Amino acid sequence: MENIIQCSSVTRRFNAFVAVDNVSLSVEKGEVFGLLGPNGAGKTTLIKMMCGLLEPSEGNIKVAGFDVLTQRRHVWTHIGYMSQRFSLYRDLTVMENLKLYAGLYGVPYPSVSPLGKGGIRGGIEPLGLSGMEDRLARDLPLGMRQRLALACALLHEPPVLFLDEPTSGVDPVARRSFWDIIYTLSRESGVTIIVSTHYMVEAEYCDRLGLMHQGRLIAADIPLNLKSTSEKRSGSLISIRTSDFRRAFDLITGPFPQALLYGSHIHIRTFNPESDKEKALHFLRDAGITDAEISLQPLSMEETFIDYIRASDEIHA
Amino acid sequence: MHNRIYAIIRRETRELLRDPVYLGLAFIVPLALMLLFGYGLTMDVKNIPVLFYDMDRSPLSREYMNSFTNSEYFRNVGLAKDYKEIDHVIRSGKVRVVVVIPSDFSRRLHEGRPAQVQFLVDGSFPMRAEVVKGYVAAINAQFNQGMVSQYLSLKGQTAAAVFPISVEGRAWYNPSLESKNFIIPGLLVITLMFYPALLAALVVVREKESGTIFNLYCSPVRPWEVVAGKAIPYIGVAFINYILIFLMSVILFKVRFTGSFILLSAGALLYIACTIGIGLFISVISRTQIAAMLITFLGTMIPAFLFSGFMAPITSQDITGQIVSRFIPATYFMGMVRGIYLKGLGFSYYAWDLLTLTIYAAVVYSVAILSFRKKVG
Amino acid sequence: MWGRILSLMRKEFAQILRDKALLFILAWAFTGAIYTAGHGMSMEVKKFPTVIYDLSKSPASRELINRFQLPYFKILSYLHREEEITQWLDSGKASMAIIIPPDFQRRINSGEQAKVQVITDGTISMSATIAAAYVAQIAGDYSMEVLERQGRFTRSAFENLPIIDERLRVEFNPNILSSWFTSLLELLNMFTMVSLLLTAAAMVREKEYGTLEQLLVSPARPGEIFIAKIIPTIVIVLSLSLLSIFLILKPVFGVPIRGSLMLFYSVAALYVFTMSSLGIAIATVARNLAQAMMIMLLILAPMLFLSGAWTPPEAMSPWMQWASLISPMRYFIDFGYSVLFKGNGIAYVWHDILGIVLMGILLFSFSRWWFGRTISK
Repeated sequence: MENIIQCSSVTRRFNAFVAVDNVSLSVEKGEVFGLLGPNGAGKTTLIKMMCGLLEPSEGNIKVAGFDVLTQRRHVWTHIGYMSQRFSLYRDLTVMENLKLYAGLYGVPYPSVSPLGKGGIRGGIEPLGLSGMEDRLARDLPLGMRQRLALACALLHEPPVLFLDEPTSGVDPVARRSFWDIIYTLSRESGVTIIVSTHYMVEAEYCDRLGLMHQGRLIAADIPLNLKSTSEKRSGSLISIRTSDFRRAFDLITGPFPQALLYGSHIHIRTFNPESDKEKALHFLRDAGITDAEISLQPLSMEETFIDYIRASDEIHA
Repeated sequence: MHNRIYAIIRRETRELLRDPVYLGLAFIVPLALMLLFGYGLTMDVKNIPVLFYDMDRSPLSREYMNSFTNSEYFRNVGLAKDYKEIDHVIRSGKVRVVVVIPSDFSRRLHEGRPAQVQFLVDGSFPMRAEVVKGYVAAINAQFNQGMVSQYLSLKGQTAAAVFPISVEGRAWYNPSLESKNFIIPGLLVITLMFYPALLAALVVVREKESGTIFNLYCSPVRPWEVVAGKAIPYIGVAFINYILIFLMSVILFKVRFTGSFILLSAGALLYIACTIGIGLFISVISRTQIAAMLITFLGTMIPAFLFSGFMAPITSQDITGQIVSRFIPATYFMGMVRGIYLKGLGFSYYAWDLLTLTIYAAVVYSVAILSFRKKVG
Repeated sequence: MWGRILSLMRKEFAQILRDKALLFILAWAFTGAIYTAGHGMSMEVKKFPTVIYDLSKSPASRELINRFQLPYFKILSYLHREEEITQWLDSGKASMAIIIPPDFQRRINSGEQAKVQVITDGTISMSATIAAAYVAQIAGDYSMEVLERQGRFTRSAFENLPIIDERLRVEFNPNILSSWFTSLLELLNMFTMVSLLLTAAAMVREKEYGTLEQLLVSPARPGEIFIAKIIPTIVIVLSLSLLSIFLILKPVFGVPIRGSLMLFYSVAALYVFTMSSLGIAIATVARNLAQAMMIMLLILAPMLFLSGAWTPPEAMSPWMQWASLISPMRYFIDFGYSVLFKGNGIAYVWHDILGIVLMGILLFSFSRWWFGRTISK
């Protein structure tokens, strides 16, 4: 399978601040590629560069065979872009927004869209926007607004879709249905989708993941491999649940300095899960905490990510 | 309560500092305007281009023409050849007045009879046309006096007999009638009318559009605290600018300043509070930034110029103008500024104006606060 | 290309027409504001507040005083003490004091010259000059009557004096009505302000909201985006100006529209294009609406007030005159009065049209260039 996106040693500086630091990655056609990372990691900057909205300070990027620097206009006819912030017209109706972008992309009605026949109408129904045509965009609930933005990005049936945190702030149910749409696009229409998110749960949905931290790409692989690499590096995960978790945590960091608190759970990475389980249980019982429950957990994406960040920090310290 | 206001002031100041380009502009723009207007705006009507059509071409007609061009008021553009040229020249606006001297000019005058001279004045700009009329009348009167006394002395009579009444004029406070003494203080008032309003015009409506206003709605802060807290940093910026403009006026433009700086500053502070208040009020009632911007530009720039007594006295305006001028704070501050600069008058004269400004500010802020209704959705 | 421009224009119109407050403000700008300016602002000297200090209290002095009447003069008080003059003038309640000496009647009777003193408030120098000229004129007319009555000279005697018989005619505005001037000027001002503000704000709004980014990723080219903002402004401004001319200027003020409306509107469209391009240039440079507003203030204020309408260009300093060459408004004012008021044809205004078009092309190109430089940085 050929690479539809190729980033080579891409760097972007804003004065002294390095937003994206020497990132090289490639995305295969039809993939759902996720960019995972905390805020400020450089995801948006990288996506904007791939879209031709920002010039890289160094390196080059090719999208759908076109160089984003010299063949920007060709790139734009081959991509759809949904920005992090709602960037359609709030004071226009759903229909007016769609008509505008249809006009700009030269999409005649009727036409075939990846979601079904019928041009704009084809875009409206599968995305669940029917009945909302005359509503002002600002009167739409957030989930609907995102779908509208997606619909506008898909009007010209681009082979590549860039979605910058498309589901931030959206409720879990709406998020699920959004991902259903993404999957349909990928599997049934062969659209390559680059999605950035900081929801760890969504990371599991992607075919491949790129982890970003402080502008660097610290890992890029399928989720399964990322998790197994982390297990090999830092061991398994045991999780401690107790009512007085705050005190338990203060105590447990004595024998287990690498412990971390997640809400009300204490997570410890260890190469000896069974023996450390016993050790922790006894330690807590001795300290007076009797209701502790300790279990071995499968590695979550969140834990994996934290581990990668820690490893990367150690290297760059 | 004090904490809340202080928090708002701090926040607004931080926002201001975070946009250094804007802050820079906020200081540079009024000063640049003062420079441009101070050097560019003049009401002295001088160098009026005049064209002569001399059909007489005698030494006397030349002497007559010189009486115009020797004064600084008129500038000789040339001599016309025919009537067509006259029509063309007035239409094109290159010349403001044409003087047509008939062929029997000198003959009649030498005979001791009146000679008709035609004056064609371009009336497109009425103010200038009036002044041109006045100058023409004055120059003619002077020429006449000269001619008549010469004539009468030849006949043995005195000139006084002809003009029983002579008018001696004196201008107080500004004896040289230099328009800059009149304009520059006026500019201070005008600039401080629209510039602070523009500063404040987006302050609230910007938050409405971006949604951060909901933070304010949900917090315990009261409307009056919001309005006052937002006003204070901008009043500060505008007041600093006032001082800079004042320094410019006396140091750079060398305008006569005979009064009390403290009194002027007190008035300026109240005045700025009024104009910032106007901007805030517009900001509170507007739903979009575009609307706030348009209302402020249209509502402050031109009215300040026309109705505050800057260009022409308020007494000479129609009823509509008089009503409008009552509603702009610039009207009340204008008399004060000119009086303090040029007449050196003190507090007792302007207590009433200061009171009016205070009431005006109180009204504007009250209306703004009352309009600041916490709305959701 | 045109398909895209059409789509974008449709969106612009949808946005503008949906903002009722904005439409109302725009409508007001072209109707109410013009009405107020025309009615309110008068530069003629009317109801000039005067006080009289009559030391003569004779039939002659009373007769003279009777001549100072409305509409020109408004006599506020007859003073009894000399100090009162200072009080009235200092406070600004009176702008002129006329002092008639005690020997007024005696001197007139004896054929000597009587002196009348006029003190004016120099802080309002322009009006003071004009008012003093009126006084001189009134005194002169009264002198004539005195002479006639005394039988020393008759009117016919004046036919035997070498004086200038002044025949003055004011072209285009025979009654020197400033309402004609100010209302038309206000319309031209609105052309300028609204074109600039509307387009700039629309453009900055796209930047601030991030909608511009989404447009950029589409096939829409920057030039197309610009044009799609400019054309709706042209349509709106030209349509509203029709209201101004046919609802206000002609019916209310009776402004004579002597020239070709076709010519006017064609060039007006070009002018709106130029001002809109300026708006886009500013929007390209500014980061947000607040910054844009300050920049527009800096540009708009000098353009409006140094356009040659208030300040005669011949009186401006030479470098100002050079600077005005880049002000599109200077050309438009010249053009507007020339065509509408004087009824001139293209022959007189082609240089104005050229100026407007050149500036438009310059500004549009600059915007395009600067925009290209900054979007991907």
